[in-house]
Amino acid sequence: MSLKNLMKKALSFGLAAAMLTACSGGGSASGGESGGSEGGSSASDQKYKIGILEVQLNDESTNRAEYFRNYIGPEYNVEFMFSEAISDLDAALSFLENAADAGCDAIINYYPVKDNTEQLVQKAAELGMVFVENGGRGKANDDTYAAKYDNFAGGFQADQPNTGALFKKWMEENIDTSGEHGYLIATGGAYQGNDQQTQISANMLSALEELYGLKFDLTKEELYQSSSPIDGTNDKGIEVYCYPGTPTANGWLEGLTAALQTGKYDYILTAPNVIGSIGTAVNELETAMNKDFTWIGFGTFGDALKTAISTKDSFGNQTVAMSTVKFTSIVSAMAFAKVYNTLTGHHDVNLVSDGTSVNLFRMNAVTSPEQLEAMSSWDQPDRWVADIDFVNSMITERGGATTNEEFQNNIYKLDYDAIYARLGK
Amino acid sequence: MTVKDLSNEERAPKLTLGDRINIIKNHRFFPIIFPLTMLVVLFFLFVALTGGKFLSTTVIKGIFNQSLIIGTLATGVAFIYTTGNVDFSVGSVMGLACVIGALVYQSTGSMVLLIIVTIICGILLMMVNCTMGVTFHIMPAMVAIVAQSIYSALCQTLVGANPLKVDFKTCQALEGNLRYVLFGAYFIACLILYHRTEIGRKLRFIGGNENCAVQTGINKSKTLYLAFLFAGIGVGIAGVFQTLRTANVAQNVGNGMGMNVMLATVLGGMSIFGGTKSNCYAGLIGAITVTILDKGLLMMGVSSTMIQGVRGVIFLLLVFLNSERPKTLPTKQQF
Repeated sequence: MSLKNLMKKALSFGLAAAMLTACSGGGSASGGESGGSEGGSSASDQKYKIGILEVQLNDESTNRAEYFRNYIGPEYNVEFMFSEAISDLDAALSFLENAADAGCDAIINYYPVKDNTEQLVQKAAELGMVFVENGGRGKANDDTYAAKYDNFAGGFQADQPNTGALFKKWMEENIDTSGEHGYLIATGGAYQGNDQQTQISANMLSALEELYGLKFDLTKEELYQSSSPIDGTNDKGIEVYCYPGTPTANGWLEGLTAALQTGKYDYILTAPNVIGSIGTAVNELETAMNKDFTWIGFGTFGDALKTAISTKDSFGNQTVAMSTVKFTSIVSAMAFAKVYNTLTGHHDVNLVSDGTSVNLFRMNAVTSPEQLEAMSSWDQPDRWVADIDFVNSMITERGGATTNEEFQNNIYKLDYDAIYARLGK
Repeated sequence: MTVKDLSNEERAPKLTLGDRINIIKNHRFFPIIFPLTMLVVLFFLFVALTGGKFLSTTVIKGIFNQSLIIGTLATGVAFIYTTGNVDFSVGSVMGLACVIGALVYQSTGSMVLLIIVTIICGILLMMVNCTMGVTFHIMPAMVAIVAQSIYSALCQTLVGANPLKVDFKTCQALEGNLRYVLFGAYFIACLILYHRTEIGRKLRFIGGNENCAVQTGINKSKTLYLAFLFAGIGVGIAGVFQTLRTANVAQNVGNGMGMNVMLATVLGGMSIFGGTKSNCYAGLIGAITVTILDKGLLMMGVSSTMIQGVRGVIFLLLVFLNSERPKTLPTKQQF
């Protein structure tokens, strides 16, 4: 028995060691893949390594990893290193330290740290790395942007007013004010200062003001910044209900369905991404209450959105009438270009003349299954929306943008029509 | 008929290899030496695999930085685990202590007060947990579950949407020397108290056999309060380290740390069910082992998707090699 146990232990130890060695080999292999492109189309002999700080591991991060590792990496002679899902600042700082030890020259940060931009930028500077963040300039990190650190390539984020305007536009074009309607607005994390959800909520409220010519008793800010559900009472008597929070909070879905069961609301307007969380509940309520709900909301590419747009409810309508999507490769390309410009000595291209150093991408509205199907097929290996020509247009060393205005304009040029013209259906 | 004289060596029963291994495993120094050996082996394995880069100052400093908070927490909580009680609310306790310390800092601007208040809060909150168990006879694990929820809710309420900021430059200045001094002093004090005084012996006795310990005249309640007191000091100090490292306190501070402390303790070679083989440095060894694994795997180029799997296999292996599986029903000796 003892010898058997000993053998088991020896075997398990051997297996773990083999796994470790195999993994190490895998790492080297991936390095080798990057290395293999050195003699290819790379414009620079310098090989860089970039750490990607991920906040969650999902379809988007997998797509991003594919784009960076297998498309950008070989072309620009860059190796990428990805973090596990980072849940707090301490873990983010630890990843920076580990990335520096692993030889990273730069960090692309997807962890939202507006309050801690300074810590991370300074930590990166201390470790000799360039830093760029998925986020923008605000009150909390204004000093950091103003300080213009040499290693800080700035931020990149969605053009949030534009995202909000997509919803406003749809509402103005599709809501018939002659009928009797009630509106439930899920404001998500707007009360916590989430830019995206703030802009979407504000635009939804603004659209209602303009559509009905109404005036809320409270200001729009007070409505979407409320951390508890609040009625948007107004002079026209239109039922408007602002419901904060996200499905991860206990009781959130129950609260939402309870509000819908009152029968006061037939429009569901959602600022956070709840496409995969409330579709079933909405459909069940429609059937149970024999009431047609119209739902528009922020979303991302994936099975949840595909189901919501493609599935017809009991009244024969799409479960989700309109949503917004972004192309992961565009966002990734922007982040990479900003970092690469700084690494190759063109840091000035990242600096916006007004000092914000934040570049923006625009989201796209999707309203039909056909449109979604076409868009879903685009941002895949061999059909990247942000192709090498697009990336080069932002990289000074490759003959691209020499000012941040050019950099930004090149991003905006890649709109739905331009992508459609290149990739088609 | 001739009777052959047998030497002592010949008369002794034959030992199999397994018996010999069990003798080694049951040696009183084995729980001390084995995790340390594993740590050293792992360290030099990564030194070899990274071509010596793992020996650089920045790597060593990084290992210390990343294992300090869990290591400090685990050192303190070992006093509780030793008695056979499990308290995994330490992460939330640390979080609330950080929040109160940061609030005091925001209203006074005093870093000294932040440090003092954070440590005092750590102690007081742990004493509350202890009182629930000792005075009201609620199972410590139940107290931990409830306390964790209450303290997390308080953190969320007190912090709100935006993290509480502490002056970044002051934190940077204090992060180095103060941490070394504070941790060194606390760790040495714990080592002496735990391994060289009557208090440590009483704690281990209670963890090994509570009834017997009480029969010999040990005051269980008083000893438990002492255990929670030393743990509270550790929790408070870990809270100070946390605030200094991040220069702010968010509402989720400390979330999940209780489980990490448990994991570090087990990896360090100590049973969370306490007993006579317990020690107060297992958690630190475990925390350093985890950090070395994380850092080493990343430096070797292991992808993030693989790291969790590899880490899991190695954790299982370490626990497997470090554990006893008696043929009888599970005892407190089993991890």
